[in-house]
Amino acid sequence: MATHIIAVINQKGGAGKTTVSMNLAAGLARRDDTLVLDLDPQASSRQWASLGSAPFPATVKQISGKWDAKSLHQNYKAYRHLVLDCPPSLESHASLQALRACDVALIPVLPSPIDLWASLRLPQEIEEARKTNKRLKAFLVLNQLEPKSALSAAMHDAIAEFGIPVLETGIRRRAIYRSAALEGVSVYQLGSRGALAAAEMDAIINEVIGS
Amino acid sequence: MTNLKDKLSASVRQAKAEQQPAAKPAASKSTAPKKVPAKKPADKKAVARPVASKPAATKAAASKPVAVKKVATEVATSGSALFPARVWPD
Repeated sequence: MATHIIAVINQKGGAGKTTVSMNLAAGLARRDDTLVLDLDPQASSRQWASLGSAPFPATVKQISGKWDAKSLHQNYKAYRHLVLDCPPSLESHASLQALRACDVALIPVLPSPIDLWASLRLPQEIEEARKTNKRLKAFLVLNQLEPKSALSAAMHDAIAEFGIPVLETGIRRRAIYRSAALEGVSVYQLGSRGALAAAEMDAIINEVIGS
Repeated sequence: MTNLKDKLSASVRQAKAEQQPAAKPAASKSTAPKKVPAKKPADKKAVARPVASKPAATKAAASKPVAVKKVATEVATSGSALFPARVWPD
């Protein structure tokens, strides 16, 4: 079976790419062999995985230098799922190649006008990538939602301006995501403390894989 | 709430509109700055004439455009005289 590639991408830093990548990969790893490829020179994913006392559920590797969609499929065909944690830049080789290689581009966006404005170039880049990657699907996922915040509630309408479908599942702002990073584990490994966050990740996986 | 939604959506539309011409042709960039300096000197000349002619007719009308120029020079020259008196009144 061909490797299914999910690129978690946004040129805005701090949108939650690594948090989504790592927890999504942990959720996928419960189903099949999963690899996180850390494409960000900051290597946050790799550092996250190195902190845990127990092994992280998904394999985490960092790659740099020149690579393309073909080499990605060839080198990592042993894995069913590949999660690409992209750098916060659309100009980088890694981001452009990730969009050309992936089946799904998952774009975490924070409920903030500044984050929305900073992410506006993405639809163009995705359209550009679709010229060579016909199977590419893109979804926005609202991250760090605060249920009582009017701004969070207003996001769904504003985000429609992007012209990219939004996942029904939003990720709530939860301290457990930060705790998981600190402990070098996924929210799935935190038992009842991480149950709600894990449920969010499962819902995202169902939407993305089932799409 | 509706107001916030509208505001947020409008801000995204505006940011989108600003990004599109900036990303596309270099020619459009050159037209934008051209318009500003090109119009201003022309406007200034056009405005300067009636303003220049007005002081002769009425002092009050002339004081408006002249006052703008004076402020710029006064800040630099009269700072030492006015500043202590205003900051440390008896």
